[in-house]
Amino acid sequence: MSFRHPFSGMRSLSIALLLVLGCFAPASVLAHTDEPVASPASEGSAPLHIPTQIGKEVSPQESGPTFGLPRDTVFALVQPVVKQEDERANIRYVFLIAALGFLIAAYVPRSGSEEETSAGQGPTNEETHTAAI
Amino acid sequence: MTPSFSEQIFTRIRQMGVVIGGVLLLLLIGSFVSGIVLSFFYVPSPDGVYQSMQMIVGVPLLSFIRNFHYWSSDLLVFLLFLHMTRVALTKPTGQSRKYAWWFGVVFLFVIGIEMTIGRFLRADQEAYDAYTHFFLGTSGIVAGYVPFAADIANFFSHETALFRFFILHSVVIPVGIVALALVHYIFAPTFRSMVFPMKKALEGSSSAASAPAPSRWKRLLAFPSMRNLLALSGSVLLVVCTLSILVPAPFFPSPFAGLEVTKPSWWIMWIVALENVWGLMPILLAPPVLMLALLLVPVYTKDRPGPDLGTALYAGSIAVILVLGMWATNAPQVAHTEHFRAEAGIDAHGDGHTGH
Repeated sequence: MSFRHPFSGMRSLSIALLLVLGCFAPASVLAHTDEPVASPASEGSAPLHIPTQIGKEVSPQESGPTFGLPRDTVFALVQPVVKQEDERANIRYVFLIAALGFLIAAYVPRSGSEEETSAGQGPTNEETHTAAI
Repeated sequence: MTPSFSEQIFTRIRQMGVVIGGVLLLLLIGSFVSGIVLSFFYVPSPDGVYQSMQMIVGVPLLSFIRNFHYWSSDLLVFLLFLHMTRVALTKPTGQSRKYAWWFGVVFLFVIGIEMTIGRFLRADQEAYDAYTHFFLGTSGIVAGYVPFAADIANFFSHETALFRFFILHSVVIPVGIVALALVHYIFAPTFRSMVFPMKKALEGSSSAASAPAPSRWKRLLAFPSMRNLLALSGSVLLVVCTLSILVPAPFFPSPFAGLEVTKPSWWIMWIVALENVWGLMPILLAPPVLMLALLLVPVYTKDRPGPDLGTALYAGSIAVILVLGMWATNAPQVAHTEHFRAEAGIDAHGDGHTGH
């Protein structure tokens, strides 16, 4: 009967923990402090309205400075973040399209190729997969 | 004959493509762990939630964990697209692959619901805009056709709504995600063909008594797929950590009642494009239509060389998501809920007629 040391897996576990801490510790120093965009609501004592805003119990008086501001004012306040998110979304689309392009190119057969690894030529079942693994 | 450089690259991409499913598991675990940490500091009550969010984004370590939570889920969706494309290209035919595909599609949509509810919890202007879509969609449209829809909308409103969404996001749906992932992995032949030989090798070598057996890690790393999985997982973790440090997750001001001034996440933007044309109705119709299209892919996929209707159905669905998404991203912001309210004569509180 072979004896297995009870802490034989601990070395791997501690290395994994150290790696995680190694990522998180410098990150905690380097990470941005995400100050939200200044708004009248964040300065006042207005409660958050997510569940109740559409509901029935909040009155304009209760909702304080968040209620009744002109649309243009709020729009101008929020737009910089919206624009920034649009730009980031565009970058994601470009990356996704590029990645999909590479993936499709990898599976579509090239002329003269003998390998059968595409939507055009296979693989069509798990045996072919096992070969790739 | 030595393969050309491009052929080597494509072979490498195919080898990496096979292990994307394993990386999704890593991102899922990353989202869960970071979510658990955040939940200790999050206050799911209307009065304290925005302040707790401000506290989270104000403390560097918590801010990093929030960014990690955001980016790992974002990359999860990104890689899900790639994973699905790889499976679609290699044909989801045969009983087990079909079931794996169907459970995977349900998994995709449950992840979408989970991430949407996660946006509600952010408690900022974008959260309010997303919640307004949900509330008006269920109470203003679905309730007209389905009797109990108004009760659902009512259940998820008022003071307790945020807490109920929090329970959904942190307990109920994650349990469903884990269950779906398990079933998906059981059916996925790629996963089985990776795991079973490894398990066999580990068990087989441990019983050999004559020569000193190599360590479990060495035996595992003898499999190229395991090496690829570790390499890709490490790269993805590095990308998530780098993004979490350099690119903070968005956080808008506290919500302004009755207004819609933001756009949703990139992966849901294709529905916004439809909303820009047809109003709120597409948020209820478009996701089920896409789900149906994706569910039908294996039905029309043939286990033979060459493109078929299944491949075309998948390619068409992805093309629609990308083209409409990019269009809506670059189009001016449209206040769908404000227009809906104005047309229905609903004021900012959800009841009564404004008369304009």
